Amino acid sequence: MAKQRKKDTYEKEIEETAQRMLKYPEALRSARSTPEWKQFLLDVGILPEIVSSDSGKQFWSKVKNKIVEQELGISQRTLEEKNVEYEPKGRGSKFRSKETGRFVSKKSLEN
Amino acid sequence: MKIILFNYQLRIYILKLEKRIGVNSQKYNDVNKHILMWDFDEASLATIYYSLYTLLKKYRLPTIYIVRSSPKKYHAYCFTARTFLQICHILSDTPKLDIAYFRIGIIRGYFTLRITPRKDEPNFKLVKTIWSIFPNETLPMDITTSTYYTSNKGGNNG
Repeated sequence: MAKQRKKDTYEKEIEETAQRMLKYPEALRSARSTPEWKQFLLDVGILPEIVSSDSGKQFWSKVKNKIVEQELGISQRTLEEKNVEYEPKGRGSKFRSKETGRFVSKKSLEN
Repeated sequence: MKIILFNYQLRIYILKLEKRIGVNSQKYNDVNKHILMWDFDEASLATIYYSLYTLLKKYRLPTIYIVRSSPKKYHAYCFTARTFLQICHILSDTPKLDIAYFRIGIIRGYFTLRITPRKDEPNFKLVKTIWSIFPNETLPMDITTSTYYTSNKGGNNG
């Protein structure tokens, strides 16, 4: 008679197999060790400055600046003058004052 | 060359292969997260643009880049960090998606797009960017790539 499987054991087995498959798929390498991918992004023109900087912190600040300038129409200079930073989390666009930590409306920045 | 011996058949043939580099949807440092990549076949740029724009709004996606891979064929990239199930859900919601690309990706557990141009075809070109207010969730350099050899000059998965 076949051994009965417990529900938990079965699910664990599936999870382990899936993890193994994902961890060691056939010959997957990091994109950092593939200069062709970086060259492709640069040739095509997808975020060239972000790719070349290669730093997470710089990446996010540049993305934020790009969003603020292109989507919201507020220049980086205005944000620096008013001492405000952009937080794209949640619904709508939010600007937080660096001094007080309070949110500032977009209208007050435009004036 | 084909040799038949009783119930067995031995075939010997020479095939010219081409080396290609593909970029995979799976993240290198977090195997459960994927970026979104689309492969379109026989779809106009306008159709692709409006399909992806709808998806961007519906699923709150970061900026999408549409790249011309060969004449009349397009790829699109979106640097998300979503689970494989979410990726499959979004891709299955895309009109005019190359179904062979989708099927192979489901079986493999990750999606792959070619980044080296085929012989006698122009280089890849960025044709449209769909900007989003949501920031990218993944660094472009944090994903995986693979090298493969194929004899397929066009068609599916080439």
